[in-house]
Amino acid sequence: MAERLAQWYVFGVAASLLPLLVDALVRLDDGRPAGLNAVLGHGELLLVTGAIAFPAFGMVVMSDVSRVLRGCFGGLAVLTEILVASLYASINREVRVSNPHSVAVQSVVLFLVMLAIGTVCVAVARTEATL
Amino acid sequence: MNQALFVSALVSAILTLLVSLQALRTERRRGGNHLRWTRSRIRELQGDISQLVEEWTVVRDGPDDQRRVIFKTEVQGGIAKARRALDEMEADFDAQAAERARRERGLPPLAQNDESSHSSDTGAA
Repeated sequence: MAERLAQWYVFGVAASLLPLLVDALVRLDDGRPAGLNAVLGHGELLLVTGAIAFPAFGMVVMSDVSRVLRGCFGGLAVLTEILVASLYASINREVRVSNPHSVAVQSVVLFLVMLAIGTVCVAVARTEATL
Repeated sequence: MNQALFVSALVSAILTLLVSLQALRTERRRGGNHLRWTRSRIRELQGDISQLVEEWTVVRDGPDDQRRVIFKTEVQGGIAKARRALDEMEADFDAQAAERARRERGLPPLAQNDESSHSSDTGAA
């Protein structure tokens, strides 16, 4: 399981976060603000969250757990993704984000929760993915 | 609007987390998974070994002696690795089967020191 989790964290999570890291570094190099509000203030982390979580959700949906659990999980996962996507769209409807700090905090909270879900999903898929 | 969406997404994500934890618990409880996992690994190893044998057969009949030696080393290394993996899996599977049998008979799980001595025996083997 550790190997599969490490694979997901490195090639899924870390690789997805790389553009944000590069953005922060470029900002630092340019002398522009590179804090949490500046880098994540437009909901960029929400995009990463959606991108890393959905493949992990798929592992549970394609696994051998009971149909009811898969149904509940799949429904909730899709709903969560739609809500995250809607939140991102809603944030970017405004030409200038009024409260980047709030957006950054919300993004980080959702990212952490989705990271926890993804970890569980990868653990669930451990026994099934190699069948 | 953003706040409402955030709260909805958070609630939905937490519910998803709870359901996924329930799925994990269910998977852990099911005894057959480990057996299926072991079988799948054995099938993978069988595939690897077949590939190695095929490669070796191709190279064995080839003209280049040096390549032959290199491949022989690689094939032998691969077979040794596969054997080690099979031994580990067998020990792991036996431990799981014993644990399951104990559980079915209503006995408490093996003590930690028993497990560690078992794993050290396996390592020595």
